[in-house]
Amino acid sequence: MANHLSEAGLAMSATEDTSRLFRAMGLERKAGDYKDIGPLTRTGRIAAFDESALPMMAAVARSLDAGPAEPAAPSVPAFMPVSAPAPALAEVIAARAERMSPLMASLTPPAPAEAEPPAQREAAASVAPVPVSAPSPSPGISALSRVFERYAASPVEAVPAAPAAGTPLKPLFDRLR
Amino acid sequence: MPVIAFSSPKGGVGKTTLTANVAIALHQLGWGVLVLDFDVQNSLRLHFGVPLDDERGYVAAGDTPEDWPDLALKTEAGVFLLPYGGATEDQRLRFERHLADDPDYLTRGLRTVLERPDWIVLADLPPGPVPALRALDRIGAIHIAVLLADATSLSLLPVIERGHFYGNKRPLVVLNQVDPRRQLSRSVAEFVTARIPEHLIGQIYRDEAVAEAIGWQRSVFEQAPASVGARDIKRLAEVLSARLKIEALPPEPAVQVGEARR
Repeated sequence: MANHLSEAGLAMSATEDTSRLFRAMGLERKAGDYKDIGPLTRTGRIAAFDESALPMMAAVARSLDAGPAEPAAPSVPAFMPVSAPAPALAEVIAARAERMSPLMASLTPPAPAEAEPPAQREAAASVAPVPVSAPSPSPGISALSRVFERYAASPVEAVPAAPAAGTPLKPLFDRLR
Repeated sequence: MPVIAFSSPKGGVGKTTLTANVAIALHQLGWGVLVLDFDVQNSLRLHFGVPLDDERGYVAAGDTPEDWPDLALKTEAGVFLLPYGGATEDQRLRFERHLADDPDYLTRGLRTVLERPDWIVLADLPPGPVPALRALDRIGAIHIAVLLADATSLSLLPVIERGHFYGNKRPLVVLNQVDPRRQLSRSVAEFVTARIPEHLIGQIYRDEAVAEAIGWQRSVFEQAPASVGARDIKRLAEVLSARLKIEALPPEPAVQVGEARR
């Protein structure tokens, strides 16, 4: 019985919602067919959104019209001066890291990867396919200053090869396709 | 050398996506481009296909700005990239102290590029009033405030116009993710266009292709070159390029009547 009542209640609720939706969209078949959905409909704020009534827009317009209330001053806070003591945050983080569980510790970012030594880059260059236009096939790192030097020497000389673009995200998307 | 800084009082407005794609579009227009990530999220590199686990970066590498040119990555798109890197909290704080207190810090790091009039530096800033804003001011950066076509961004317009965020130098404004199918978005776009026509330099329509491109770690021009998003970003780059050519490049030598006769 209880189930019956709750099902009936749900059905009624769905009907009312449908009525309101149809009414709001102007799809009612004839007057009185659906329940009145109240003052919201009568003001027409569902059927026709009136941007001029948007309080935020009016407030911004007033604020802009008022002009600067005080001398313009950037709000960038005065950052801690160099002479200030070193922030303790790093020490706190380091101390916490020591107490971390192995799982959490595994989530801490690794130290930035060092660039391959030039000798290794040279070795890689000897086996990797080298584009004709790329004199330095280093994997990603390209000395901008040297590029400019080469530009100065020969404006048409090409710059080093691009970094490898293979990423963990690409295989993921390929699988999802 | 022009420097363009993409920033915003609020986060999540698409600064990084815009920086990356505008950089590529500017390079396609013939400029040499260096993009610089000032955000500890270190996500600018992802737009250029740099692997997720590659945490190299100029902040993570230490605080010797003279080394930055050697840390730049040449991307497939032809743009040079200085990623923030997987920096520690200590490195981030030290970097921001330098930005705030050392007036020559950025000049020392970018001198190589700043000397070239045919190159552009594009900076991607974190949201809010960050030290990088003032540091970029010192090297004459053009600020571009990125806003969404929504009520929250709209509410920040007076803050920007009154100079509380950018100082006396008013930023250019780009309205991002404008959705003409939505009344509110359309109304905000019309309102901003009417109020700051001289500062609004671009509107980027909301386009899923732009959002999807980051998932593929490539530019919108590679992902969906015919998309509305690609069109709008390219248009923005053209507007910037035309403006920068006037401001940055030396004028063409005028042909004097006497010389022509000679």
